[in-house]
Amino acid sequence: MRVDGIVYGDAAMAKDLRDDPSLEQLRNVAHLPGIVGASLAMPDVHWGYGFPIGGVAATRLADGVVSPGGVGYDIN
Amino acid sequence: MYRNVPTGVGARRRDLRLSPRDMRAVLERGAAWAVSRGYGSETELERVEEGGCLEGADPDLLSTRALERGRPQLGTLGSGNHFAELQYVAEIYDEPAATAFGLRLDQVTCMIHSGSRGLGHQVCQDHLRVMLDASRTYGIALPDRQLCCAPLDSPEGRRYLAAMSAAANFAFANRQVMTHWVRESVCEALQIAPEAARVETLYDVCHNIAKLETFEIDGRPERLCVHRKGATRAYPPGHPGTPAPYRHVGQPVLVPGDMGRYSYVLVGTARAMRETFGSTCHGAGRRMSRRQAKRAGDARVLLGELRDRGIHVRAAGLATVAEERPEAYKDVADVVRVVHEAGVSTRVAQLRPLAVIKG
Repeated sequence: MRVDGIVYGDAAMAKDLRDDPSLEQLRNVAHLPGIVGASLAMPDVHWGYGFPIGGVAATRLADGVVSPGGVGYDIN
Repeated sequence: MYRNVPTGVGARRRDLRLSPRDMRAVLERGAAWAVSRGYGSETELERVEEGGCLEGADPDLLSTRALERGRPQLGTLGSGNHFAELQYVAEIYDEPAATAFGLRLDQVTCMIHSGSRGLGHQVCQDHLRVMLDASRTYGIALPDRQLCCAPLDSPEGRRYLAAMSAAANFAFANRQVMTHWVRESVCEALQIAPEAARVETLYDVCHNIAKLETFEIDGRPERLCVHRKGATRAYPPGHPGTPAPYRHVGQPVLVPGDMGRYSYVLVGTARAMRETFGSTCHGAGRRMSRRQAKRAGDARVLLGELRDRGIHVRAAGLATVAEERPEAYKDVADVVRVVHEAGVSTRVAQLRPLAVIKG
């Protein structure tokens, strides 16, 4: 992992997330080249293709990547 | 509204047909194309993220299949979780922001959730293949092949962003057209002139997008590619990206809930700029799979229950209604409370449903 993963949530959400695959996805996103800050998840996080839905990741222009999984199929 | 806005698979209006040249203009110009054809006014464009047009969109990068899927779908709602909902303002939490947004108690609003339809889906599918190869070419080690990617500064990366931007522009144009049809529906139903109806866009915002934006990193402004996947931009007061009419309060954020409870309007904050790359939540999030939701009860019974509570649903298919039942979603109030308390966007108003159209 190049950066931390941060989830915005409350105690009940944290409990529900414990066995949720979206947490592993959040960790995977933290491996992306050029990612800055943290791999972030909003409180409506759930499993998506590649990135979790509710996921936010910023990558540096100089050495970062862009991933279609970070946008998904329903573009915009 | 149900008559004027096509919903469900294959539905479309005969009075909107796009030539290949129109299609090109839609992909290059986004919502401005729609306005140029009489769907809404210039002044609405400043109330759309990026003015309804992402720069650098290149229609030539879209496959024939993507263009074919998109052409009959401009000005269509689609199915799944897409909807248009008439609502009323049930609560105001932040008077100054609500006033700036033009919201007042008991006012009727309409929320539209739709995107780039089959065109965007195809763009994603086409580029996943390219990105799998690119990940190998550039020697990027991936914990999950679904995260396939390419350097921003590579032909593959640039091509994806240009194609994705074209799809985003299609989505902006799609909603602009439907927004105009909603306005016409209101005028038709109330038999009033458009000037009297004053149905105006509050805001139109993306929630599945990758965009180049500027943020402060270690005290210096830096251009970053922000991926928001099921996340909404939430720019603060004073930011040049916050539309001029709202610059003193912050950018509006639309957070749809489910069709039985409520949705929210929030406002962006400086804290979101520091912590979340100017982002916040985008909705309730499912708690039941579509299959589970379909088995959870009869859609006709659900429609009756909603009607008894004053919520009228018109849908192209009963299956979608069952899949989208309110209890299939988490309580969006919980989601909103978390982002509000964390300060990455704050509550402005709660909207409750009156009538919903779905695919």
